[in-house]
Amino acid sequence: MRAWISGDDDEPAAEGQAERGIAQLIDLSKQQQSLARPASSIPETSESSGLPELGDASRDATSRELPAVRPRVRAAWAGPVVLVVALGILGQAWVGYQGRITGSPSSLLWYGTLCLIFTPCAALIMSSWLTDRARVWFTLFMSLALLATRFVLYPDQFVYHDELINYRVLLSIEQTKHLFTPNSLLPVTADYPGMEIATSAVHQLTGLSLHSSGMAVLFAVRLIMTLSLVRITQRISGSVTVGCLAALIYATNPQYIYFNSQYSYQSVALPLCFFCVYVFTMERKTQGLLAVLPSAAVILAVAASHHLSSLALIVVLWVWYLFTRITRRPVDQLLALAIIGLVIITAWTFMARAVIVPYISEIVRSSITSIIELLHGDSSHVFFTDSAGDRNPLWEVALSVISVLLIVATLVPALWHAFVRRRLLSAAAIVSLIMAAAYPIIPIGHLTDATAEVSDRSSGFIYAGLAYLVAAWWFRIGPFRRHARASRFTVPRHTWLLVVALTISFVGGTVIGSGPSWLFGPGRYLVSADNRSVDPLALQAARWEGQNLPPDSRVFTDRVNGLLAAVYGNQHVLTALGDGIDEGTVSTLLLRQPTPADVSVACRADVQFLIADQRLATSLPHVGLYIDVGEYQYRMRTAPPPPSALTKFDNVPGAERIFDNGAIRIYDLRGLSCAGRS
Amino acid sequence: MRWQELALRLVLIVSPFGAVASGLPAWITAPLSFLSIAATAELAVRPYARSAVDRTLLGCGTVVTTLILIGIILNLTPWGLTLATWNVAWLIVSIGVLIWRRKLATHVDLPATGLRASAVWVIVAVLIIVAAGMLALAGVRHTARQPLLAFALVSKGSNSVVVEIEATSTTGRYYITATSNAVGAHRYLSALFTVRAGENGESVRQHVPINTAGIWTINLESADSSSVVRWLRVDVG
Repeated sequence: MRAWISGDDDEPAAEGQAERGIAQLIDLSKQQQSLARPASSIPETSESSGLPELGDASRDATSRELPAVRPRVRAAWAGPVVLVVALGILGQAWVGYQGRITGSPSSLLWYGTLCLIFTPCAALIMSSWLTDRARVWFTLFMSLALLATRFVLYPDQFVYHDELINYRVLLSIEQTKHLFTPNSLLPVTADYPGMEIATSAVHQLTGLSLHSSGMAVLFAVRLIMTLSLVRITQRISGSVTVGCLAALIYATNPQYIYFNSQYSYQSVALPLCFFCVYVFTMERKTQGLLAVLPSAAVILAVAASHHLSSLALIVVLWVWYLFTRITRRPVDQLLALAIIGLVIITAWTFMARAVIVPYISEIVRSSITSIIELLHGDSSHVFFTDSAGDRNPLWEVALSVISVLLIVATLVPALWHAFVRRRLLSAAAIVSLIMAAAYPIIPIGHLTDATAEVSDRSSGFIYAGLAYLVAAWWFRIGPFRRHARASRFTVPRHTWLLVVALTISFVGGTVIGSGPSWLFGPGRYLVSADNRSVDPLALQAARWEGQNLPPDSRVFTDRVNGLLAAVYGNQHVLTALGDGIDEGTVSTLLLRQPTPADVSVACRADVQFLIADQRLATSLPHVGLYIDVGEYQYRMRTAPPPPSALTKFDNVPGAERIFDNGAIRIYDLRGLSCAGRS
Repeated sequence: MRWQELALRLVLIVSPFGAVASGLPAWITAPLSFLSIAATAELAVRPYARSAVDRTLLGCGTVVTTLILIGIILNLTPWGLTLATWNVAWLIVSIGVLIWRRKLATHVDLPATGLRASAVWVIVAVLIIVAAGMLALAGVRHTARQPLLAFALVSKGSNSVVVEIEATSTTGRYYITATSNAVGAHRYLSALFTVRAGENGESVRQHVPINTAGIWTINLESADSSSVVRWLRVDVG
């Protein structure tokens, strides 16, 4: 048997074996066969033409129209593109280096070097110069190179909010050797430790550091996500090129560069969702319930990794099943998988109910509040401007608006044609169509701060459907075949036009998802700005806490110092979600000028140590809050807290100032005269 | 499977286990372990995916899924997720796959022509990426060189307080003073001392004698600028 390192172009032959399960996805009706005619304007063929054993005449008809494998003509371009991509990564490293030296990295250079990775790859992948196999490998190469850019910006530690929260879970596993140790930063993360388990495994099996192990896991899941997306789209459309284009379109989603590249539980769960569908649609040698066992195992891994991803997966499976019933084209064992998946995810969610219900409730509550404020005209949200007044450059704004318009301009005709010819669609394609139709959630969600985060997070799912639909529309396959001959809504399908549109969508989508320019990389300290607030002063204080304070002491502090205190200081940071404190009251310890009530507030919350970062008084918070949602003067603040708010315990009897590094002061409040405290 | 391949695979499976257990550095253990994991995964999924793309995808997905499920199972054991349990669990999985796929033989066929054509480009690209990594680390080292000066309480007793100066990239002459409003409290002035902290940082501990209980203010004063640069407030007694 041939090993995976093979000199032969074995992809098409192998496809035939691996893709028998495609029949479950590609079940276009026989009506389509009569519609199918080779379009003279599309002289290309697909590798799927090498799959006659599928016995699906509609696939054969479809494949005649698919983009070309006219390979090996100018494959020499592959080498220079590899080199340009490497230069793009070097450029990203330079941006990070420059940010650390000068304090303000160039956003133009950052986006420029990102495009140095994305654009040449997109051009080569969409050209006819590559074999199908090379096309897939290049798609993977591009996605991994884009992920690598995150690590050359922050090569030695996790710095983003969600990364540090999940890193705390990982540290708990390493310290206790068991799962589910409560995490006061975000209690729900402790109950979904899938990513941290995989990281712990890599750490223990390879001897790599925890950070490097986390990076290895992120690379593995990025590989899973990219190849799964290519293969799933290929199975629905019958074309490798459509699959690769779908992966390119998916890379333009707002969370691709930013959130889904972070060490965060969704970054692992989302690829595993795609992998579950991929595994389920593979050729199966076994029958009955045993055949869904591998997919069920993946569902269990998803259930253990992320709540909303597992919920989305189960919804997709059930909607898919529903449409197989409506279209009367059943898929073997889909119902069984949907039921097993429902049982697994329900059971896991039930076990995590104590933390998941408050968490989801809080998201829903804040989203509804924001929408109500918007409807009443009370919203303080300003587009492309962070809470401290830092604005995105005009060109970033323009590109993001154009990217939304571009997507809408392609999505509307694609959706329309898919809807008109819905009877030609397989159930899987209809599910993709429904997911794509949810796209307006993303731009509309940006009308308020709270819903912007929710809508951006949903883009990881929505773009999976959108990517297939737009890619299929572009290549005029399946329901869009007739559209190829129509004049209305038809644009010339030049590759350069596609690459330009993809590049604009990529940059625009990244602007939408990443937000303000300071978020992408290192630079000078900014107040409450996640990655830009993790500086040597904050790290020094956190490490001192880890060496000198009793572990798991009750600590109250701001958002970023809280993350660091939990991760490097091994402290129990008080939060509203984790401890039920009244954020509006307790946050006055840091955000309000001194009052006689301060001691009683500290006593009621049983605060043992207070960490006060004097720099909070220098600027409004860049992420919209200093500490947490619901803090003192939340969303009403027009000026930073007074400096006296952060030094109020300097002269309070019983309070000791035990650490001072110029910026951060730590107060020991265990000696306060609290009624009832022993 | 021929005995030579079986022996090679057994060595591949066992050697990372030994390397990690014997505490070899990560640059030796990590490639060895990844190779071992990849070999096991490839063997496990080979019958389900004959193309390299599918084999890579299935292998990677299977490994991540399997590790998560193993972790959940290990959590149910009294030992939990430790170095030993992870390595033993993976050893069992690897041996299990070897027995399961004992009838499969491996034939490695390197794509020599393709490699030759792109070798120069790939080598240059790898060198550039390595340079990118080095540049990124140089930036981190630059950040770590930022001057820091922390003054902190280490411990306190009835007649003395121990304080610590933690400095990085800082040089200066300092002295410590301690004052209190308590009745009978004497002001303390330490001898002049020098902090010469390089990039790796330096810690200096000082004993501050206290002659009476009460609230004490302990200052770190710069001899160069004659000003209090850091101060602590400690309740003694």
